[in-house]
Amino acid sequence: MKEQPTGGALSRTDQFPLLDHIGSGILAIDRDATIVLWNKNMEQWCGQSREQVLGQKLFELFPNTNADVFKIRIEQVLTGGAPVIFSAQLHHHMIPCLLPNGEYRTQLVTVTWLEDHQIALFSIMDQTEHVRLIEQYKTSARSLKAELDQRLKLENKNMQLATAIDQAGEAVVITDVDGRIEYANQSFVDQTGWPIDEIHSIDYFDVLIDKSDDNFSDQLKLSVKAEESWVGRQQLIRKSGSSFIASISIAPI
Amino acid sequence: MNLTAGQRDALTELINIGVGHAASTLNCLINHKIRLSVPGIEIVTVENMKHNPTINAMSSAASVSMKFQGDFDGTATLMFPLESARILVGVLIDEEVDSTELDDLRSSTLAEVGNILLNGVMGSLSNMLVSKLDYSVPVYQEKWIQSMPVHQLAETVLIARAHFYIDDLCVEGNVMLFFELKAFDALIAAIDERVLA
Repeated sequence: MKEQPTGGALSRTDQFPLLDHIGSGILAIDRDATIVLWNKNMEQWCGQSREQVLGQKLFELFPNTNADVFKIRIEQVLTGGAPVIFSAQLHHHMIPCLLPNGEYRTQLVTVTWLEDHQIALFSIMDQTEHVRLIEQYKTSARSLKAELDQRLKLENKNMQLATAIDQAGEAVVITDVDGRIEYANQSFVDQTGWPIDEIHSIDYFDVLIDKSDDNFSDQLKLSVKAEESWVGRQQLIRKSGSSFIASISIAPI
Repeated sequence: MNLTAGQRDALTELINIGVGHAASTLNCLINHKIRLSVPGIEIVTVENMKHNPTINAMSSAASVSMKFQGDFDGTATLMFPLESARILVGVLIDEEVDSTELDDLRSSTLAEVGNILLNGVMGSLSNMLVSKLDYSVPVYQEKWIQSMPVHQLAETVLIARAHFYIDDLCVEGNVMLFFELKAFDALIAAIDERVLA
């Protein structure tokens, strides 16, 4: 049965023309659960025109609203009860409105009894995009958290390795390809006598290698630049100027 | 305001009937067995509310409020400590909720739970009073109750501590009904007339 204005009275839809110009879906039912108002957004979302919907029973046109989770609370409103909210997380949607991708629009629905008009007004907010953005944000947040956890694990592992190298009995030194010292452990400091705060300003090949064999220093530099490994014994010079023989292993990193 | 033991028991019973209805509705909604109870109530003045230990225990809270007007006017509020709100929503949606992200969707979930509970309580009271009330749409807020403008006209506050038992979990919230003095007197008079007479 379609809604017909009687005795010159305006139809519900005519009474609320502004509702066609708001961003929410609006529908209203009377005490018998007959749909008496269906705004343009609802027409667009559900693909059902006002003429098709007005006059039909809500619980018949949308059988999912017949479930207790909806019907009991809607009926409470129809008896003049307090407004009810149907949240997107607990219900996903109340009025099935298909999206082009075949999924239903996610909805937040508030149902309010309008005593003066004797109708229950359903205000339906489309939360589809909202949910998508929140899910996208959560996925990004989870991914960042996983990356952060991984980095922390690696940092811990690096710290363990650094501590092990720092405390090793053998001297360990890291230089760049030109021989500038980037890192030296405590054993290296102890053996060479160079304080840790000065060690970064010295050149391994120019300062520490015994210059009596110029050729060797140059050859070693070339090996390092060529990323080659070298193992052997070599005389090193301490800060004090004294020297000592060291077994040396050089490897590219 | 001092209540007699009979008035207090009757009021507690009415609120328990209301939360019982709310529990039935909530049970339809979720996969967990939910039970609600209100072990007792307190009546305080708005002025004294800030000294109330139950209220003071909540440094920050999530609340759902709904104004009512008619034979008696006031505001019904359900207030959860934020941590309780986080746990409750997590159980309802079967998902762990990070304490820092009680986002919009979860807020509206909590608004629905509050809506169900407040409607149960207000339905029970208005039925008993045979009173017709108009209600505002429930509003969700996250702020300290003292800074809410809901009780500007209210003089008497009924505080009912609600326990949500979900499976093995117990989450606590507070149902607070802010009444204008005349409204609370009307409520008590109706209890005397219809329940205790």
